[in-house]
Amino acid sequence: MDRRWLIVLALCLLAAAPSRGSELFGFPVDEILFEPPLPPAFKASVEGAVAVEVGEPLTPLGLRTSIQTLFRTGRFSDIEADAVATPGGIRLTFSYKQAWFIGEVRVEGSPRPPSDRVLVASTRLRLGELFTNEKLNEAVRSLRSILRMHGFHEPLVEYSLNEVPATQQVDIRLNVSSGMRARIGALLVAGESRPLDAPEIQTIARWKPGSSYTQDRIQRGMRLLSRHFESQGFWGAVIQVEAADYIPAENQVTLVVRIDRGPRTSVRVEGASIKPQKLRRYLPIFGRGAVDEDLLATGNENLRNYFQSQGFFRAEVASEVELDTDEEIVAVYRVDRGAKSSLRAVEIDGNRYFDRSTISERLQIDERRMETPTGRYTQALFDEDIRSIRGLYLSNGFLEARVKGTLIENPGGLAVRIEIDEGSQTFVSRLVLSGLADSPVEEESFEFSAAQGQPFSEANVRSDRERVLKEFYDAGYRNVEFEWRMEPGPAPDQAVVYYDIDRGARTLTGQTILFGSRKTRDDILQRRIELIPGTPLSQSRMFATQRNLYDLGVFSKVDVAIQNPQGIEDAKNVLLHVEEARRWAVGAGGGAEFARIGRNTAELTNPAGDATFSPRVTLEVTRLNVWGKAHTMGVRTRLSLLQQRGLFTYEAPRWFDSDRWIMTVTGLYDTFRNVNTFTGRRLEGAFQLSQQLNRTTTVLYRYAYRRTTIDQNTLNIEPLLVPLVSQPVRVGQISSTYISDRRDDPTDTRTGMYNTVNIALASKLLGSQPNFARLLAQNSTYHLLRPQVVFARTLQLGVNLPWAGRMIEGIEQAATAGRPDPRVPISERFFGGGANSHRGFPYNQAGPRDPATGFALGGGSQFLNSVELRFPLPGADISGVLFHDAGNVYSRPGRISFRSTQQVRTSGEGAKEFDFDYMVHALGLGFRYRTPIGPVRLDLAYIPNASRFVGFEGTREQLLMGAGTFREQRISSFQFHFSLGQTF
Amino acid sequence: MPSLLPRGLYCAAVSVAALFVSGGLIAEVVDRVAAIVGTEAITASQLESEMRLTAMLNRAPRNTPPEAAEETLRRLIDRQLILGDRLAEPFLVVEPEDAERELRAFGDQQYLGGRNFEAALAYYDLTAADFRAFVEESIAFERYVSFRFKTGLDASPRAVEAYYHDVYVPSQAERGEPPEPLESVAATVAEILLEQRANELLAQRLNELRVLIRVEVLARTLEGAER
Repeated sequence: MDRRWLIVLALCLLAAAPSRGSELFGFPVDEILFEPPLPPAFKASVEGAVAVEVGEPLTPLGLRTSIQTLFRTGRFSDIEADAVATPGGIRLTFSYKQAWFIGEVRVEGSPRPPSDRVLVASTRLRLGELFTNEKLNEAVRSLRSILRMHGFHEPLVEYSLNEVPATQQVDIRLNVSSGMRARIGALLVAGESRPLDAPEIQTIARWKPGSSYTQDRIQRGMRLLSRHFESQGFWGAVIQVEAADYIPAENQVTLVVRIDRGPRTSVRVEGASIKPQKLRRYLPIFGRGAVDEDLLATGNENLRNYFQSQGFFRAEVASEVELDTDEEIVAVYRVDRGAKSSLRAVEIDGNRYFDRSTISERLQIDERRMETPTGRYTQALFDEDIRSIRGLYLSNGFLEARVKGTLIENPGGLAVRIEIDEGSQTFVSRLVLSGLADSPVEEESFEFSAAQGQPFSEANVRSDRERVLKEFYDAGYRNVEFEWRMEPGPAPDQAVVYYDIDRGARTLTGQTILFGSRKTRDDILQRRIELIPGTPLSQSRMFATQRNLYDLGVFSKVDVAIQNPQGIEDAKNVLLHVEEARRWAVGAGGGAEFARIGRNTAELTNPAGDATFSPRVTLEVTRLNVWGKAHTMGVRTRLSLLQQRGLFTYEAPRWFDSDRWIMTVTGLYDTFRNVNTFTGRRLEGAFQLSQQLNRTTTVLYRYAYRRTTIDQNTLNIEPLLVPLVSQPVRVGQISSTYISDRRDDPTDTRTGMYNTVNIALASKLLGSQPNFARLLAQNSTYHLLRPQVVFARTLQLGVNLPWAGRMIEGIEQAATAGRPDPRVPISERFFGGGANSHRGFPYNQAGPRDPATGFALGGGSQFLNSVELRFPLPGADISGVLFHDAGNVYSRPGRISFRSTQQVRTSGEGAKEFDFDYMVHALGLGFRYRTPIGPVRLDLAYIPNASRFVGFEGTREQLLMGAGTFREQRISSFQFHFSLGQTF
Repeated sequence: MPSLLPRGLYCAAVSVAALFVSGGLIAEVVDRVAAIVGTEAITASQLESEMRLTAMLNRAPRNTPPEAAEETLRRLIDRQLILGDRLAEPFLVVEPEDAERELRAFGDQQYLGGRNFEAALAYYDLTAADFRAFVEESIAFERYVSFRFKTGLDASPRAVEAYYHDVYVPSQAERGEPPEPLESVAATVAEILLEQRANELLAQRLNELRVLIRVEVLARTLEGAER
């Protein structure tokens, strides 16, 4: 009988006899099974964890190791190993219960407050972690507790679990039946000391019986009580709601409040006056209602710094406790301010390695300047500066650097002297790396700061450490460790640096499980995922995926987590849980415009416009995630006396499946009267593609078709021309705009450049009535001359070039005499002037004017050169501007002129005809007040060569009847503009 | 037997007959998870092994009563908690030669050396590897307790004196023996006090770990789950 059959026989006999499991050990394993069979999601990683091998004898140690290793994968909640004798040997079966991991957690049914997010957070059920019944029970307890805190004292919390075997996730839905929110009932006062009785507490804390019991109300009441005692000098009052006893029959909560108001705290300041609010801010004894030496010393220091910040650089503050009883604390602060002075100079000596400017830019103290007339100095700032300079030297290898600062008398004020003893510089003579052999991360890619020949510093080592950890995290080494040490080098001032890198095990990316999305199309989402199964698990890619999903603009929350974080597996599944934002958004707003804009009535007397106040109402409706494609559709309306506008937009980002392209379709209805000469109505449809070439450069490609109608009853020009000029006009136009934006801050630029070039073509081939081309270009640059002093300049040039058009009979002659080319409709001409254009004109009042009425006609070209010097003024948020604007709107491209005088021609009948093709200069002064949304701006301009023109005094009817009078007028030589943001 | 049947066929027939007699192939539980400590599993075979090892150390009979399982499992869980905590101090490494030395010393002291010790292991159904693993864990446990809970501990003279008067002297009186002078037992008393304090701290840390780390008992024997 051969050996194989002997084994079979032996095993069968063993099976036949009652036996202990241990008697099966020693026989070869024929087959290893899992019951139930392993899901594909983790089959590969789990099977590799079994230490027992087919063909090898079954041993207790091998089996135990297998169970323990399997369990460490985190995929199982229980494992049992069964063995059975088969003809081929032992068939080993691992019967298991699989573990579940926390998926989506939702809390439903609870009235607000608290918000759903607060409730979900209170459950402490964290995405991807192991789910256990204990955690679920704890979550229910926490939920009940937080609901009780918010007045729901008999909440019913039920849960339902939805297990998803394919991903081993369990989604948890917690349904809350909160019942009625409790009301505040009676109030009891506990404790022996009762500074307030119950009705007083109820009044001060606004805990009116019968009002809803919410945590916010209770907290707010406690704050009000604290303030009440603070106003009486009891700064350390302790207010506690000791108990909130619920009475089910009445659905009311009885509050038990204990108040210990502590001693009354008062402070006397001798030698200086300081506002009580500031005292409360600077003296910590107010916050504590107690006094000790530390608190007094901190107060001394704070007060000294305050007085120093006011220019009393030699200020000294001492303090003592005058009275300290259970009832009252009185502290006295004695201030010796010394003379007010200014910081004249900051002297820096001994620096050889770093120049003065490198050191100066790290200093918080500062010499006196226009914006800080006394300079900026406090002992605290100075100490920080000294530490900062020493840190600078240390980080560059000057390990023995010493920095000393002193305040010294200086003619006319004070000065600080910073004395630096650099010492010698230590360099790295050799960098010894270990742990990088066979590394997937190239050694060269690190570019170590502590490389051979570089200065040695701990800062450089820290920076190297950060780099190493990041690179290895991204390569899937989640447990990488970095250790370093330094030894003296072969020569003095040299160091040998050792980096020991322990990569640990590499983790790969398993499945990426995205869930929570209900409306968004899956293909849109999948394209945003940068995690690739089988590749190293990269932290950067996880964050990039999260960012990509947020960038879709349709999710209010994107959580990223690793499933089964504690388990030891080769590959980890990554969970992406998204919450879709509300898809409809409605916004409404109001505002007002105040500017010198025409009234546009039948009155023609003041062509240059009057100061006009116009209230404004806006309404906006936006629909996100249209058709689940992360597109956005919106309607925005704006109604004011000057403009009625309705704008429909449809925006499709990531057009051509690229982040660089955006497609936009717009429809516009616009009734505008912001040009003083007429009221128009525009209907426009446009299709635009926006291409982001790089971080700073964008190109727009656009086709627009519009129909513009001029209300002839509002057209304030020569009456004979009204029927012609007011004809509706259709314009079909293609255009391309190049935008290069290299500004450091678009709202308040200090350095950089901004260029735009717009080329447009309107042609019959595109459905247009007029044929003309347009070029509009802008070049702006910004230069930081000194800290906070900026020189800014901009040049704008625009031309309209008509062709193949019909000259309107009767105005041809006028057109040749410095009037705009009539082939370009009035609504397509350039209008200029105003706060964001040439500040020598009121809004849209630059350029040629109608010879009969004096109203602006717009031009065929524009040129504007502006320069500004932006400088600080005393005060933290105030700055000033000196500016010069030069340019105009010209009748035609060929008529652009740099001539500064306006020419006047007298006709044979003695009437004056003014030429508007000249350069208008405006010199001015502006003020800026910095706000979070950009600077608020006031500009005052003086125009030495303001435009003169002939205007008509009277009504339109009088003009038609030949009544009224013509009178020479001029645009005011002084203009003011009030606006938001810098001019350019 | 004459070769009426081929030899292979004969053996198969015998096997099938045996299986038939036995009522078919019956799967047996050969090991299972007994308890969970965090991500670690304590198996039933580990528990049984520990019980036999305890019996050997105590020179007790091999078949320990089932009630001992609960106590042994609790001890295994505590040890696992502490050993997991020890991972935070990676320098507390037990070298193989340390374990070998301890193992040999134990064998020499308790069983007068090699053969007796091997016979004892065989009697208790243990292997040298089982015992070595136990010794390594014990050393690691001791070192960790010493590092974590005894470092910096000091018994004040007042505490030593109090222990001497409140505990030592009465206990000597109970035994009818005269107490030693304080000076001669002070060092021993200080040692006892330090041990007591270390044990208190260890118990406190174990309580903390039991809250922080998932501990669940699934089964105390191979035969059945307990949930």
